[in-house]
Amino acid sequence: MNKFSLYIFLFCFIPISLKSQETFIWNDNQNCKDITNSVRYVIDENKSFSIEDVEKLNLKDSLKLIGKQIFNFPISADVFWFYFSVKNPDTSDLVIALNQAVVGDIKLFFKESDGVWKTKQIPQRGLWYKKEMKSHLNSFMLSKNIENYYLRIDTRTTPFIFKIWKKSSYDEQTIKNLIVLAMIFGFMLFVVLYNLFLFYTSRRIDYFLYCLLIGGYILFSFTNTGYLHYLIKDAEIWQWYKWLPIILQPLGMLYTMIFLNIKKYPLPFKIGSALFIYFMSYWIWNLFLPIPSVALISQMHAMIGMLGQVGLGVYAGKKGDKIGYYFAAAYIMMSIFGALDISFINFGVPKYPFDINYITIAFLFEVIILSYLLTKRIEWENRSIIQSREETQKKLLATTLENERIIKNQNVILEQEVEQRTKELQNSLDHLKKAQAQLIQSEKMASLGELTAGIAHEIQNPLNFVNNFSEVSAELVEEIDAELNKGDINEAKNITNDLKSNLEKINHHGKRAADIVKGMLQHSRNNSGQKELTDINVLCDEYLKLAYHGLRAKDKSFNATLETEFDSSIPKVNVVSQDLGRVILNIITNAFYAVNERSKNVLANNKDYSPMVSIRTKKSGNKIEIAISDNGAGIPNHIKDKIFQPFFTTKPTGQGTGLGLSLAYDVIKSHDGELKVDTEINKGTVFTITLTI
Amino acid sequence: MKFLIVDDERDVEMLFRQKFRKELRNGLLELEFAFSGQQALEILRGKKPPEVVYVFSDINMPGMTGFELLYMIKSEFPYIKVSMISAYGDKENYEKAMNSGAKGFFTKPIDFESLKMEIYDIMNV
Repeated sequence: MNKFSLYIFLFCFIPISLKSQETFIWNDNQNCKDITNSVRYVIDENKSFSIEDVEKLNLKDSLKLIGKQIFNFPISADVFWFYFSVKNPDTSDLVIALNQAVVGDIKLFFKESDGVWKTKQIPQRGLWYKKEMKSHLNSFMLSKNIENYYLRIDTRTTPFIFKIWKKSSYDEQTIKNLIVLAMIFGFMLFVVLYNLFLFYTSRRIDYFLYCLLIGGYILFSFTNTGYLHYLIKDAEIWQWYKWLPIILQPLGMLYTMIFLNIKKYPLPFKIGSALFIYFMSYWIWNLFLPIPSVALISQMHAMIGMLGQVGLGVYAGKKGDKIGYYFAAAYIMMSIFGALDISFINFGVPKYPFDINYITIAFLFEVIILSYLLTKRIEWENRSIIQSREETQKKLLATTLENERIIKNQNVILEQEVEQRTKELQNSLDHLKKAQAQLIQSEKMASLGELTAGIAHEIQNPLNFVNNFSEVSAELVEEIDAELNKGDINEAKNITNDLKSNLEKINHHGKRAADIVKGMLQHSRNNSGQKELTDINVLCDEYLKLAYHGLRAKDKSFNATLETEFDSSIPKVNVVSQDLGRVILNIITNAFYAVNERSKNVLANNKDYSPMVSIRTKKSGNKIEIAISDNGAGIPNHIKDKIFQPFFTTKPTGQGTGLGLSLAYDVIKSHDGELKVDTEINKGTVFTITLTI
Repeated sequence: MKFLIVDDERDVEMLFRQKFRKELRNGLLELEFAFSGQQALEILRGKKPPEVVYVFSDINMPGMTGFELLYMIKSEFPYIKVSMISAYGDKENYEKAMNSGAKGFFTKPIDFESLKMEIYDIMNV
């Protein structure tokens, strides 16, 4: 036992003497001192060493000296033991501080004057408020009278720097860092809110994604620096440190693709999508990796992602979307800071400004540039919208002007054409007028032709009387002679009276024939147009007879019952009698034609039918009605509307001009009268002329 | 012996009366005149049996035509002789008249000689 104690004593003594030159001597003139260079370490691969084992190794001088500004170790799952020695002759309280926030289990061992090992521990679950030092970083108070310390660090991430601080300065520094970080946090929070606002107004998903990304960056920076504990009390920093990059990586990729509208470019879209899917898959397959590898691969992913983002940005830029270049620049900036960080990790230079690591600074720059871009993009898009709108308006204006010019030209052409056409139309109108006049004349002549036979018959009758009475008169003269010879003077006187009345008859019938000829001449005369007081009943009767005999002359088999019903109270009316006569004649002729046609049909079918045409006049108020009805076949509905149209006829070609009713209509119109038709199939047709007295 | 002349021309009466002046004065012949078919029927129906033995009728008359009158007379009084007088002495009218039971057919202007012969024929028989 004594022997053992002696060994221990010797062991204690020897190293002290051996290591005395490595002991760091504090003086109060400084606030802090980097001692990384003089820290020794040993790797405990199996996590099996106790503090005694390490002390032994140290005494055997088996611990390696770091000998650099920074301790940059390979990523592994090993436990590291560190040894450092501090002598504090001054009055200040000292603190040993690691630059790292993200570490696993960390313990400080030291031997008190009674030779018993004491331990201080910062638990893996970073219960910040349970820490001895209320700092975001990992730090321990050092005892005044103890020089040798051992640190056991379990899970690690990035390189270590060991610093001895004057406690008051360390606290001060902690607060300073806190203020700077709070500023960064405040700024980023502002950016998040600003982008949320942009998202709210523009409803574009990339603004929202960007908010998520910035949120992630803030959390990652806070995790990285240990400040997360200020936000989340019981946060397990290591887990946050591991998961945040895994989660943010695909989000960043997605954001890039949406922001740059990569969908437009097929190949980049494929590459971007592939990267996005790959990063998403890492959410799963990282679970099967040893923890240190996860961090390493995340760093690789960050580099790949950044390259991808720069590439997509440049591509979009080349395709004419200048926002792509800005975007690429932002990520190049980030790469530069990433490189600075790697440089720091490996060589300890350049040092972090204000203890803020380069990644945080990179995030800060990215946030500033991208926020600027997102804002600018709205402006640019608005400008391009306005520009395209202006261009559209210009084009529209040009088109309108061009159209106006074309329309003007065409108007001129059109006017010329219209003039030309008008001339042509005028010509053809003149032709038509002539043709119409000719047609009217020929219609008149046609109706005259229809009349001729009737007229002949009508003249025949009075002529017969003239002949007969003149014959009889000659006989009477002989009889007078005979009576005178017989001496019967009385009888001779009687005969003379007869003779006298015979001569009157001859005169009467001669005049009658002359009247008929006069009427015929009137009928065929052009443009007489003189209105004269006319007895409508006489006119009707006359034309009824003319029409009847006219048709009778043409078609000897024709016969029809003629009915007349004349209202004797009708006064004489002021009309163009030959025009009205022609109308009546035309309608009566049509009526005869209708009954004759039906009669032929009926005859063929052996049915009982007696053709009848009637003409009736009636006075009602200040109107005179002339109704001409037949019991023909009636007018079918589909042609009823056409019968007053010029040139419409149902008669076989050559038998009708198709002008009769059309002219009749015009004549009645010119007398301010009305011409109506009522018809019923197989019952007959009634044409009614209404004239105002 | 009574004859009935039917014609819408009223002057026919005067003409006939002068043409048959002697026969009328002698009382050999009686003439009656109607100016429409309807009037003719009324005259025929006026006395039973009718005094008229022979009717000369115009064909073309307003209202009842000569042919209609012919049918009516032939159906009502089949023993009364009827002859037609018409300006239209065409074949159709002639055949129609004869087929309907007319005794003769005279065309206008009336040949009074043949008419007298017809009347004398009747009177002699």
